[in-house]
Amino acid sequence: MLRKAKAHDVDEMLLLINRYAGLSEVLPRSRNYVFQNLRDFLVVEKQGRIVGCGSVHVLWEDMAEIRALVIEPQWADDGLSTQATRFLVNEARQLGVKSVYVFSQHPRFFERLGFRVLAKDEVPRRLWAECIDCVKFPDVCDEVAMGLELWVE
Amino acid sequence: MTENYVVRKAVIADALAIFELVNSYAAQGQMLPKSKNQVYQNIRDFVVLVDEDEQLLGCGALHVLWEDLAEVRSLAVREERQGNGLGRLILSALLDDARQLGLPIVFALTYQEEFFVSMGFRVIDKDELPRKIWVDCIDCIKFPHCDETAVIMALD
Repeated sequence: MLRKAKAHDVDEMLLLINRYAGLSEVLPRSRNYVFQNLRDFLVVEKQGRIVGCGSVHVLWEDMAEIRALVIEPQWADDGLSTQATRFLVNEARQLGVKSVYVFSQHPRFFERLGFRVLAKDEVPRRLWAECIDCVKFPDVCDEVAMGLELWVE
Repeated sequence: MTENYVVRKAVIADALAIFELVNSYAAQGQMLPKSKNQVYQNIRDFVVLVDEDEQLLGCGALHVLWEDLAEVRSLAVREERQGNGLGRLILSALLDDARQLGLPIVFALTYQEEFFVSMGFRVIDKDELPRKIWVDCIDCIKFPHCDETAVIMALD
């Protein structure tokens, strides 16, 4: 089941995000970050347990970024990553976002959902604002920048 | 008033109107200014009160701070529409929002303490607020000489 995150989910979300951050899959997130951006997050529940989460953060009038998207590997074949990504993209669309960006180590996955790999200089400067605080910036960044243009009425 | 209006979640298209309303009061020293960046990055915190032509009459935000704590921010009603209970409608929507998110305590720093008290908040000494909130205060142009009143409410 996919649903918006609530305050009582945060402990489980942090364990999940930071476990995959330890494997360099996503960036580590503090408790403060997750609470202050709680509205950005969805959670995926299976058998009463949180097995995935993800967020989409509005950055400016026309852009948003998918962040902290993780699904436990044993559920990866269930299409949960795809469902979660579509949920986040749809939220962005409803908020009026025109472009959704993601930095990921799984470009093939996002390409299947319509994202396009971007050269790093195609990435709006706005997105670099967060990179500056990343432990991998700038020399060991191993993520691929991707973007998806949304059709907005 | 016979016109129709509705409180709804804000979308990005509301951001500039929110920015202008909040900063018009900020210019009079009645609330804190907000940058466009702050409004965009926290657009999900906002609700807007709009009339049938989608004109902004008021806005307000509820920002999650910690596991049990949220803050009401940037609550404003267009000057010519004040005195009609619109601020109450906005604040009620924000309190519902806090309940939905599972946050039991809501506070605000305000110059309108009577309004908040009439909605069930109580005035407290700023020093009683959790230290956590000062992290955000540090970037305020008034820090550390805050002249706002702290109000707090425990939700059912």
